[in-house]
Amino acid sequence: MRYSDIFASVVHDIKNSMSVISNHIDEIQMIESLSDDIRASANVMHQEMRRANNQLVQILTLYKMDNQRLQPNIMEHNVYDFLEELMIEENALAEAQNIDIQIECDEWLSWYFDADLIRGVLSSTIGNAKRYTKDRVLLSAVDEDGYLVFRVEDNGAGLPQSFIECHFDGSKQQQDVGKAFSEGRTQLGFFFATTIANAHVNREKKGFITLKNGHELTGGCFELWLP
Amino acid sequence: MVKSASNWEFAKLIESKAVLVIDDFGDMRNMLVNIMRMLGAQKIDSAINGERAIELMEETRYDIVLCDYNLGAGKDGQQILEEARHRNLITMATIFIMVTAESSKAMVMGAIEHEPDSYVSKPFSKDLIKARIERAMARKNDLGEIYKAVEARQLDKAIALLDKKIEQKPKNLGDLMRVKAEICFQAGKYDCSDDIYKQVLSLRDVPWAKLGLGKVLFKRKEYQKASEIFRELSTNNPDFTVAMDWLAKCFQALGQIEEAKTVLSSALEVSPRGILRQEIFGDLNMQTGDFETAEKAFGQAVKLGKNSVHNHPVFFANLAKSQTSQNKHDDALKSLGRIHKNFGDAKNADIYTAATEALVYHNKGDREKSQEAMKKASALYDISSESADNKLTLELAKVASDLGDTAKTEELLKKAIQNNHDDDDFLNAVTAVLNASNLDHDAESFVSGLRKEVIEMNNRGVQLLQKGKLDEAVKLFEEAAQKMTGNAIITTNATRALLMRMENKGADNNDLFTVRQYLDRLKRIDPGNSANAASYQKLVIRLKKIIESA
Repeated sequence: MRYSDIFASVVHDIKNSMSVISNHIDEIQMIESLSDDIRASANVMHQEMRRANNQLVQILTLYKMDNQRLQPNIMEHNVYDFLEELMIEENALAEAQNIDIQIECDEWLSWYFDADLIRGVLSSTIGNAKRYTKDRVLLSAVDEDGYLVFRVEDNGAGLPQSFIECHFDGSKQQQDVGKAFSEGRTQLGFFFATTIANAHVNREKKGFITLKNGHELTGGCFELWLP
Repeated sequence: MVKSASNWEFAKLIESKAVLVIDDFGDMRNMLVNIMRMLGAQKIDSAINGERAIELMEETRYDIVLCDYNLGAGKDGQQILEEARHRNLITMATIFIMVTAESSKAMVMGAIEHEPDSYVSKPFSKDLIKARIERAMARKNDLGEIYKAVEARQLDKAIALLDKKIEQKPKNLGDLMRVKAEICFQAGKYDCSDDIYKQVLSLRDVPWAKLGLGKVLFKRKEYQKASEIFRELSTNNPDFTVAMDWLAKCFQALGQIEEAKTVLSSALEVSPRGILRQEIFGDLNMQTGDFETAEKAFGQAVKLGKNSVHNHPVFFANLAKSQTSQNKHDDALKSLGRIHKNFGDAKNADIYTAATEALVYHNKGDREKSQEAMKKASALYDISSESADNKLTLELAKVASDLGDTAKTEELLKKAIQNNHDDDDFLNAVTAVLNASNLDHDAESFVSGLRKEVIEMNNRGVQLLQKGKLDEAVKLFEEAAQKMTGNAIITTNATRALLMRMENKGADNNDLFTVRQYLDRLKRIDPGNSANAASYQKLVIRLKKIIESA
């Protein structure tokens, strides 16, 4: 047996456990007569489960990168359907937290990307947005300058200037990882997002991410550009 | 867009659907059943492994299958899907959702021929499952008619239906173009597929379109160019085993056996479960005299056979051959002994056993037993020659060649060529056997000569038909069809000639009987036949009309 097989089999087990836990939490949340503090605990559990899953996905990505096996599976996807599914996954919890998540996207827009990888990036970004927002998150996608641009925005206080000025450059990976770890988990998330964006290549164009404040909503705005 | 149905509407929609859940992990299985129940399904079965799942599918026609990919020791999710499709336990209308633990890239790349409707990665919510089922239902509704036409082998109709949809430039245009390119490829309309692939590739490098382009080049016998495309694909996508299989096919066609071996060995490293790949790898190693590696490959094929719909006596026969080639004759006989246990009388098992025994005894120096076994194999083959598949004919020819029986080899190969004069892959295999045998012929010209003979005979018959000389045409094709019982084109044209005569001169009982026989034969020759699918359907319709008007 190869190490990678053992690795895969352990991941499989962890994912099974996470699925079962998530589902049990779902069931608890569906009980209508739940007291407020139990409901709040269930929400926290749900939230942390999603975060743990996102971290696991990121670790796997790192592992594959180390083994030069990060090869995105580029397929055509309807972008609206893709975003709608993401929202379905986020919505139950968001409602409980009184956060309004909305999608803005042309229903006919389709693009080529690795749905698994991009879902991972957007899911953890939405997680961040939910943490920093006042009460709204906007999830949008648009065809711009020959790129598909996903945006995750919130109406919170906005990102600190140091974040926005930080350039995420895939070519200085080792350095960046160290830096990202020292600066906390959010930074690490951006590093993974950059890696995954960079892995999306079309002809001479390469994917990337940018951060800014005040696009459609007043708060932070994460942009993922895919060629 | 799929407007998400309300929970109540959705429950109504799936309450009558038969659902199968497959997962080896008890808690997961319960959870999936629970989810389906909450969504409104009322008929839910569950299976702990692939074997049980197949048993259940044999009894019940399921509308929705939720299957975990990783099921431990037995069949995996992909093997279940392949077997179920192959044996028509599920149809194109069945929604098959694969549940996976992590990124599905390797699976997707290996599964390009048999894709599930959707991959769902863990962990997931009940609402996501609902969304996926809804989407799959919408797609099935949209493409239902087209798939029905494909299943009924009416490819022209399927393409026409697709064109009508494509004209309206719907949201899923890309999906439709891909489906059209695939169906055109099946129908042998390579120009049409080629156009679509090139159109997609003009915008970006998409693996499936590249693969398609390579396949078209291969079919046009531009093996060098095709190999460059497959080479690029497999270098850029180390998981893309299908591209590696095609690359190996190119090398084989170019006679570069060592290169083919190298490619397949890396494909097997990625995905050791590909049973047909193990078989081809074993064959190539036999050809180059690397019997030890061949034995390993066939050993794997035999082991994988237990969980595979592709299981076949030829794996055991080849295992035995690789063993006897290393003077391990007793091991070889043991391997052959396992054939009957595994197959009984099915799949011409006894012929494979007898023929290979002849070879083993020959190598052992036991002439008498060898001749006896070969006699038995030949006798069994002659009785079953109507149902004998081409694989068997080729296999028997190989044994005859190894035994030094040139007359028999020639007779069998001639038959194989005549029956498959338009199947390039098969003719390549025949050429390989010829090259390895002691026949005096130049392999290429022997094959092309026979091929030309069949083509000319066929053309003569077609000309007679065109001139309205129906009796002469019928006579010619009936004779040809009697000689070449496994030739689809000759049999099709013989049927056509008989139908034409009856359309002109009225129904005739003898002719009707022969026509039905030919149609049965066509189905048997190539059950999954797609290239002649449209023409088969037309023949059936013409037969019906004749019967109705009689």
